[in-house]
Amino acid sequence: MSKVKLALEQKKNGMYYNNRVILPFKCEFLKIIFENKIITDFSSNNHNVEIIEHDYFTDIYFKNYKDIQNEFSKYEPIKLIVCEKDENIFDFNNHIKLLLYIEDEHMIKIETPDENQIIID
Amino acid sequence: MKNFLIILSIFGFIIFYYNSVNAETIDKTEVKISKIEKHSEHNIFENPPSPYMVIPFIVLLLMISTGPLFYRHFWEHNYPKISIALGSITVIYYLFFFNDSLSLLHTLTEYISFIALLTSLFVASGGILIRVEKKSTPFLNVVILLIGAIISNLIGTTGASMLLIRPYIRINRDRIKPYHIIFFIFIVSNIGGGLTPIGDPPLFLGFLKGIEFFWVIRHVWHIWLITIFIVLSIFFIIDTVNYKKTKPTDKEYSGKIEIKGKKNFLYLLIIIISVFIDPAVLNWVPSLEPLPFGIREIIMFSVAFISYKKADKEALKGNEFDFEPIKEVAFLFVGIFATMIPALQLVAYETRMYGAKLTADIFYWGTGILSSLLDNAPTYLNFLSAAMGKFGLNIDNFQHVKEFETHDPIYLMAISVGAVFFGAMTYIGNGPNFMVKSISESSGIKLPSFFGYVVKYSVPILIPVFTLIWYLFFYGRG
Repeated sequence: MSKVKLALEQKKNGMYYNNRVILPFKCEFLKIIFENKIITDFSSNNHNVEIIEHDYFTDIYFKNYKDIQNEFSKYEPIKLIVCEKDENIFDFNNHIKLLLYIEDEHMIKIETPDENQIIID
Repeated sequence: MKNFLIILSIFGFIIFYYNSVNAETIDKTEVKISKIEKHSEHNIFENPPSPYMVIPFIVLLLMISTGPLFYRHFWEHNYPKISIALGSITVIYYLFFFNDSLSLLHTLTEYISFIALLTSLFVASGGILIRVEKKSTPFLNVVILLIGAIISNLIGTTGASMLLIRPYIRINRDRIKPYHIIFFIFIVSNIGGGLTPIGDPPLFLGFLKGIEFFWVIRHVWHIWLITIFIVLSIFFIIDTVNYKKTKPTDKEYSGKIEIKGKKNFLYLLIIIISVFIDPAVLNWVPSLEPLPFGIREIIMFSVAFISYKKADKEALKGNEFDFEPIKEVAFLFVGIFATMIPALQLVAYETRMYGAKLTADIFYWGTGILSSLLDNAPTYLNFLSAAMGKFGLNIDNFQHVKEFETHDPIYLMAISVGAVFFGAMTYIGNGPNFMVKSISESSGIKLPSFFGYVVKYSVPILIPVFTLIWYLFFYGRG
């Protein structure tokens, strides 16, 4: 299974094509912060995102945007709060905060926030 | 942004060209009084613009108010085009039908000064990252908000909000609630900036029109102090209740205050000093007329450019620096400044006839209520124009503004306090409100809706405070 922590350890990058973000792991999503929109509804009838899991990676489609590259500056990330598939989601210590920076050539740099960056759970 | 500069340059060139043609005509008549005075007197009081020309201004303000709330996606992608298109209607009318290029040139000059100040403060403060390693307590929060209120008079409510909102969220991250952010908007993003023209955009517009720099602080400091004291006291009580409910943690705090990008304080100082580098303030400063900008604006834009290029990258990353907020202000205000010209002139024309009925109460509540719902900067100018019109004075005449500020200060006090304080009533009342909301939400904090903000916070907290201020300082006066 492709785990979040492993992807971070191995410094794996994600990818994006227009409004599709491809993450090199599978996880449980708790919160996605896209600019100033806090997305917590991942049910099938939500209008913001569609998440599709594959064997080794996960797709997130941001339905309201044509191209996410136009929405972010180089200092502005998409923020995620996720949990590993096999860990207890109810334990806040297992929640992992991630920052996705949109780079050139379809690349997404995945980082965890440093002490200066804030993501409220 | 490049497109914006191209459009602005084209408009600037057309206005500049038409103004040169007009100037030649006026010189030939050998009229001794100043060109601007003669032309604007003629336009406003003898031949006012068509009342229909107020429509683009009203449409733009309504769209600014409703766009981010009700048709956000459309608004986010189209506001530059809408603003430019509505502004163009006024420009075309003034150039080709009303034959008043001087009002346009005058407005373009003010717009460039306005945007130069906001851009430079925004960029320079965006390169400073403050980290405070202290435990969140009600007292510490009050201190931060008070510091924010004071420095917003030095670096603007926009600059102070940019500088302090993230450290404030970081300190409170373990017990943050929406009221923390809303009181920040009340105090740092609005009321705090009520003492100097740098503090809040409406006061800076007043300064550009000719109001003396220290006029506001001299006349309003006691109102500011009482309001800040009351609002901070309410915050302290609410925060103390919340603090007592919070589970104690064994987390240790070093007490350290770390600042990245310290050199940007120097840039901020240069920007503040440059506000005074104006031929109207210091007579040794050369004027670059007929160009629609001066040495001050050149310094401000240069500082913005240098401070961004030389900024501490970690500070920019920590602040998630983005030009979008200032781009939004630049586009929206180019439309506001242009469409506002006929509105200001008509207000002055109308109030000269009905001025006797206008009291300080009306100016306080009128400026205040409209500043809550519309942007407070254009509201301030419209009411200033109305108050001056009451005495047969014209807002576009520098000498008239000087005369007005000494005539009876109660009106200018009411308008200044109303515009700045009531900007806190809604998310759309003042530029930084939306910026703080946006930064807080991008940090994961869920804030109340537009109406939730008004019903839960503004009405129960601010309205009683503002009513008290009205009763103490403006009731039955003027």
